[in-house]
Amino acid sequence: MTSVCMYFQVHQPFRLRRFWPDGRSGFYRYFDERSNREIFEKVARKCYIPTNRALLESIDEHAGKFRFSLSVTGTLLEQCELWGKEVLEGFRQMAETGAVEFLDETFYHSLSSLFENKTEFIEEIQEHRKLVSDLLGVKPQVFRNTELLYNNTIAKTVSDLGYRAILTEGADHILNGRSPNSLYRAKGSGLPILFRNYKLSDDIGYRFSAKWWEGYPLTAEKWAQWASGVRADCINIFMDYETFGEHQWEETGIFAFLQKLPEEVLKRNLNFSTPLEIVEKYSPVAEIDVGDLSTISWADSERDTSAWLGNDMQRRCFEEMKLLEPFVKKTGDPEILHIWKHLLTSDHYYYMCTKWLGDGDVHSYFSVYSTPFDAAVNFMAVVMDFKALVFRKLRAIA
Amino acid sequence: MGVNLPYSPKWYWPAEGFSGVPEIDRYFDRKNIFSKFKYTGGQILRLNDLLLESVEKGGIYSFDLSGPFLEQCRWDPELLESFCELGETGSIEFTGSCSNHSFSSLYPDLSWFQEEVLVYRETLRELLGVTPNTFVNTQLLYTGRVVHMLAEMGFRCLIAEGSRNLISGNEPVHVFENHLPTLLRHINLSEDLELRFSEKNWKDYPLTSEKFANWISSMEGDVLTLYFNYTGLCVHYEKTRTIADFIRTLPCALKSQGIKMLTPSETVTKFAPLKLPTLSTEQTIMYGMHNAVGNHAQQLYLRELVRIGEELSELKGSENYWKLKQLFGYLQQGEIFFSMNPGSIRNGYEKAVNYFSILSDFRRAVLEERS
Repeated sequence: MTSVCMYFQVHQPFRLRRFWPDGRSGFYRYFDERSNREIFEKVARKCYIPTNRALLESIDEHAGKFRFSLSVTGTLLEQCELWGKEVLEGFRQMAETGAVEFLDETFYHSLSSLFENKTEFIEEIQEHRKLVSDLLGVKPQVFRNTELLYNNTIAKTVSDLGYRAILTEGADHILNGRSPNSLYRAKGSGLPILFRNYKLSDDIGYRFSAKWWEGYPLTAEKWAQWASGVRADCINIFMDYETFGEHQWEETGIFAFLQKLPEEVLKRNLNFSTPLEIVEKYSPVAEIDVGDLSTISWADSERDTSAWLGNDMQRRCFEEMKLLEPFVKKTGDPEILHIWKHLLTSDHYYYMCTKWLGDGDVHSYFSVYSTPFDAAVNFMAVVMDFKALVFRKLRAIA
Repeated sequence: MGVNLPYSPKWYWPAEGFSGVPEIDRYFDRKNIFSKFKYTGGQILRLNDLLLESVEKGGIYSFDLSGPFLEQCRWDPELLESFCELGETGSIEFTGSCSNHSFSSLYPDLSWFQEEVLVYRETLRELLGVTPNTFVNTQLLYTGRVVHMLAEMGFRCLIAEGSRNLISGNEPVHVFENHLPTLLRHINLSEDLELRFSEKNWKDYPLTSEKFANWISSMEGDVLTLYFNYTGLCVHYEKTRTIADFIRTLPCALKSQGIKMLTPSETVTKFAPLKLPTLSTEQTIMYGMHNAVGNHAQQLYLRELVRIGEELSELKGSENYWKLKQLFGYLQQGEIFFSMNPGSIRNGYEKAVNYFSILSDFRRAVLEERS
């Protein structure tokens, strides 16, 4: 029997404000309290609250047979604590059902896994582990990295921390003709890898309401029919949680789809399994080799790091942040550390992406800036100011 | 005529920074600046020879040599000598400006501006043996804030942009009353010489000195102030040799129409100044000022310079103060501002990200310096 392994990514960044060096201090000197709150509240209303409810009902209805996993970023959990206790409560209830497996990732949805030195990456994973343990009472055993960024070294780092599997993108150029619907193992560490089936995932995540698509309109029955055609161990369906009600509005019928899906899947000789259950049920079929310079991700058609580090503005900003690390740590100042870590959030770099054709649409959809150039200037203005804060602090404590 | 060869910042990477007291090469590509100077310097030398011919025929001109350009002239004694020679004719006036070609007249603390004006005056004395009487601010920017200060420093004339909001419907063809008698640039006729001269599709191409003198004689008013980039003439010279004839024959052509050529400081003693109420406002005015400090990136850069200036001032007497101060001078050049707004946001903002990165490393060095 083939397993359907669903995982949803739940994330909101702390976006920067349009920076001007005024008299404000602390975290909100750089980050926009009001707009982040407004966006969070809007998404909570349109997506998090109704989706949590729908999924909890489905779990109830199918008595443990409908199972899936969630990865919730630390930045989103922070926002839930500030502005959305009801959302947090939904996640807690899911944890209690035993049907939902929570995954670990970096607290800040950050790009720290791309630093040569993995200390910060490890620290952020531990921060995340502590937060989900405190807030949701769970101890994840499977890891998913920011935007499914993956290479051998990331797998090794994660494996050394004791995780039992890692999720990543079923990138064609890595699978090289092999199927994403089996378990693989990482070169070097031997860590089991679950590859995203991007075709069946994107049918829901991206194409669900696309009128140009021959699959339109997509029904749960149709989708389950396609899935049941796959003769393999597992079908890994990974997507943004915001697909439900936010990327795909309620009017598209996405909630009706979600509500019908478990039943349609279960009646077709398919079962639902979470990532940990997949690892326990199946054995890796082959080794996967992804060198550090060939890092993959689930973003854009390139499936690489170019969505965040594709142009000079992005690389410059990222390099500034990376080189600042030892100085930030030397200050030992919790507020400075907190700000710096939030500046590693991948979204800031995504806003600066200039790949206009095709993927550019997706980028501008997710961005609060009118152009990627505005985003880059704003970020670097923050860097300029923040860097001075760090070096002033170091001078003061010297 | 303005001559400026800026020190343009290089494509800097943060890995070059984060430690030590920066050398100029960390942020600027001196090789590139030098080779540009070599090239343009050669052109200027040729043009100076032409100008000398023109002077011998009765031509009178004035030069606004930017601080960065003057400093580069130290690399080429021949070029410096050629300007000295022009100066010795007595028909050339050299005007004063900000030594860093900066917008320090916009800083809250005007002592930065004052210092630059003094430094420039000293450099001009040292290199060309002259003392300026006329002041031309960077990019002809006019701000009422500094006029009184300039008068107190001994200047006798000010040249500023004849921007539409300043002349408010009048023609900029008089000496205007101010703490410092003020001449305003005639934009159209200046740009005819600087930009359009060698444009073959321009309706007035080819422009001869006779035609130009005719236009001027048909105008009313006391004085016409023409200001343009000298290097613009070099560009024309590359394309068409008619600019050489134009320069040689201009004095005679003007003379035959009864038009006198004057230096700015002579001009203000010859004509009674007219009132222009807009000059007494505290506003900062320049045609195209938005190109310099109009966008968010430029505003941020300006603001950061001001903050760094304050921090640098606290370091007087420290070991590397003068080294940092010199580098800070280069980082304030007006050209840096202009290049953040070249018409396309892509071009300007990619540069701005680079400049911010440079400025942030410079500020780090200032903060790490012990006072």
